[in-house]
Amino acid sequence: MNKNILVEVKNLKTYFDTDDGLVKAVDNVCFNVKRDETVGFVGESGCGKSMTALSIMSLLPQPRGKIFGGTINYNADGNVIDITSLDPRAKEIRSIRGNDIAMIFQEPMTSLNPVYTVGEQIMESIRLHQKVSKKDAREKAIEMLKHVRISAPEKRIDEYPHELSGGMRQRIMIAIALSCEPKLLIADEPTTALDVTIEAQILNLMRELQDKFKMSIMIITHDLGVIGEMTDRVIVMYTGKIVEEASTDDIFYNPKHPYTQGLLRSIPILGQKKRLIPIEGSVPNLLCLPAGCYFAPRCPCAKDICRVKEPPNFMITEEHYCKCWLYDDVEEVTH
Amino acid sequence: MLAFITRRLIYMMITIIFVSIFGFIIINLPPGTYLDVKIAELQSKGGTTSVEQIEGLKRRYGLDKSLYEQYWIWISNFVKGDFGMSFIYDVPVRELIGPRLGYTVLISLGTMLFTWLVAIPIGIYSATHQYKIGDNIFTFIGFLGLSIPNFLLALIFMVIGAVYFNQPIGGLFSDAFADAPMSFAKLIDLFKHLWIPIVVVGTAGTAGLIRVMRGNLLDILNQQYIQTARAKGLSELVVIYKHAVRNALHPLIMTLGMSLPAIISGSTVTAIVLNLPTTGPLYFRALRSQDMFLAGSFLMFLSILLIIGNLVADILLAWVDPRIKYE
Ligand SMILES: Nc1ncnc2c1ncn2[C@@H]1O[C@H](COP(=O)(O)OP(=O)(O)OP(=O)(O)O)[C@@H](O)[C@H]1O
Ligand code: SF4
Ligand SMILES: [Mg+2]
Repeated sequence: MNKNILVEVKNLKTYFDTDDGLVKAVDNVCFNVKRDETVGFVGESGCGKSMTALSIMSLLPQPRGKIFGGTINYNADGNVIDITSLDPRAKEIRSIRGNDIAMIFQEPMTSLNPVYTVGEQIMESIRLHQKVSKKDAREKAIEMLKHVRISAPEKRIDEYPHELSGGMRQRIMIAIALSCEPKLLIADEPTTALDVTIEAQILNLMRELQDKFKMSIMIITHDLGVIGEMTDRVIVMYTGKIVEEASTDDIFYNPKHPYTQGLLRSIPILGQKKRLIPIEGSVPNLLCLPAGCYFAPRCPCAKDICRVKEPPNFMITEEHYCKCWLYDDVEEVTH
Repeated sequence: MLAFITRRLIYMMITIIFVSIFGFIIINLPPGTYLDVKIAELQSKGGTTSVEQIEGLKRRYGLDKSLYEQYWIWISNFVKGDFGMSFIYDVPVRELIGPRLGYTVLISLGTMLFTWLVAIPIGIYSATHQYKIGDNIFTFIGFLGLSIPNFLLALIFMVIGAVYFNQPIGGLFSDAFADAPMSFAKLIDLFKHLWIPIVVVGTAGTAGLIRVMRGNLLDILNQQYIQTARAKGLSELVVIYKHAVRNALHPLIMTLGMSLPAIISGSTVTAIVLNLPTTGPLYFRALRSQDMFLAGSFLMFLSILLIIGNLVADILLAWVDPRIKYE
C-alpha cells in the first residue's frame, strides 16, 4: 500500500438487512484518504455518508447494519490492517478507535454524557489508550482544553456538560477526539447544529489543530460552504454510491456530474442575488431504486442509456472521476 | 448539600404538620366516635363504673372539648411519645404499633431490595439482548408476574409450602418462636418466613420495574453519548455499565419515593392472607371501627416513613445526576 495513503476503502458494501429487504446504504464505494489531507463528503440526506464513516469506525447500527463486502485498509505506519476483517467488539478495533481514528458527531448537545464532568470524559479516553497516571491524564486533559481554546481550563475541567454551550461542547468533543493524537479525524456534520459564527470558529479550530496534530480529516456535510472552506478533495455521494470525486477546485469550478452541478446551483452565494434552483424531485427510496442510473429520474441531461444501464466510473483526469454516461468518451475505470 | 438536606427537613416538618391536621379531621369526619358507640352500649346495660371509666377517658383525651382542642391535646401528647389508647384493643397505641411498624419497615425495605436486585440485572440483560430468546422469556414471565394478583400468589405459596414442604406458611415466626424473646434462632426463623411475603409483595413490582429498566436502557443506548463512548474505543461492558446504566437508573430513583406507599398498601391484602403482624391489617381495622388514636398514629407514622423515603430518593437522585442543584 502506498505510504502516502492512510485509509483505502475498496468496494465497500454496507447493507441493512431489514424486514422490507436489503437496504444498500453504502454500495460498492471506493476511495482513499491521504495523510494530512481533508476530504469532504457531500450529498443529500440518506445517501450513505454517515454509514461510510461508521463502517470505518466499525460502529454500524446494530443489529441490522453489516458490512457485506469490500475492504477498509488502515495503514498504520506500514502495518496494514483490514478493518472489515476485525470483530467490531473485539480488542483490536477498539485499540484503533479513539486512538488512531477518532470521530465527532453532529449533536454537541447530546454527545457528552450528562453525568460525568468534561474532565472525566477527556481523561477516560487518554487513560484508555495511554498508560498514564490519573494526575498526568488530568494535566493532558487541561492541555487539550487549552488547544481547543476553552478559557479557564483548570476550572472548566470539573464542570458538567450542561454548564457549557453547544459550541463549547463541540470543542470538548474535539478535545476528546484529539486527546490521543489520531491519524484520522472523522467529523460527521460537526457544525450543522451550531449557528454561523460558532460554526466558523469551530472550522477554524479544526484547521488549526490539523496543522498542529498532523492528521487527516474526513468531513461530512450538506453544506458546500463548509466544503469550500475546509477540504482539499471532495467526494459526492448519491443513493449509497460515489458519483463524483475531484479536487475541491474542480468540484466548484469544473463540476462534471449533473448531480454535483445541481447541488452547486442550490447553494446561496454571498453577495449574489441569483435565485436558488433546488434539484427537482427527491432522493429515491433505497428499497426501490430506478433501473440504470439512480439519478436518471431527476437528471436534466438523462439519455436513453441512462434509464437502462448503470454508468461506470469515468476518469476525467488523474484526479477527477465521474459516474455518468455523459463522459463515455473518456477512459472507463474501476475506481 | 447540607443546606439542601436541612431545607428538605424543614419542608418535611411542614408536610407532617399538614398531614396531622388533615388526617385528624378526616378520621373525625364520620358522625359518632368509637366511644359514643361504647357509651350507648354500656348505658343500655346500666353499668355505672364503666361509664365513669369512659368519662375519665373522655376527660383525659379531651373528647368533650372542641375538635380544635382535641387536636392540640392529641398532637402535643404525640410529640411527647404518648400516642393515646386503642379503644378496640384497650391497650396503649404505642405497644400495639411498635413491633408492627418495625416489621412493616422490614418487609417494605426487603421488598424494595428484592425488587431492585432482581429487576435491574434482568432489565439490563433484556435491553442488551432485545428480542433475543432470553429477553422474550423474561418478558413473558414479567407479564405473568404483573397479572397475577398478590393474594392469589400468597395462597399459591401457602399451598405449595404446606403440601410439598410440610411447612406452615403464614405469620413471620414459627409457633415455637412466636412469643419467645428475640434471639439469634428467632432471627433465623424470621428470615425463613420473611422471604415469602417479600417475594409475594415484590413480584408485581419486580415485573413492572424490569419493563421500566429495559425501556429506559434501550432509550439511553440510542443516545448520542453512547456512540461517543463507543467511538473512544471503550469495551461494550464499560459502555453499558459506566455510561448507560447510570443514566437509565435515573427515572427509577425518581419513582423510588412513590413506590413506598404502593408497597405498604399493596402488602395489606397479602398481610391479611399470610397473617403477617404488619401495620396493614391493623390500620385497616382501626379505620373501619373508628379507633381514632390508633388510626391517627398509623397515619402519622406511615406519612413520616413516606416522607423519609422521598428524602432518601431525592438525595440519591442528586447524587447520580449532577444537573440537579442542591441549592
Ligand atoms: N438502523 C438502520 N436500519 C435500516 N436502514 C438504515 C439504518 N440506518 C441507516 N439506514 C439507511 O442507510 C441510509 C444511509 O444513511 P446515512 O445515515 O449514511 O445517510 P447520510 O448520508 O448520513 O444522511 P444524513 O445527511 O441525513 O445524515 C439511509 O437512507 C437509510 O435508509
Ligand atoms: S448517467 Fe445519465 S441520468 Fe445519470 S447523471 Fe449522467 S446523464 Fe444523468
Ligand atoms: Mg448522516
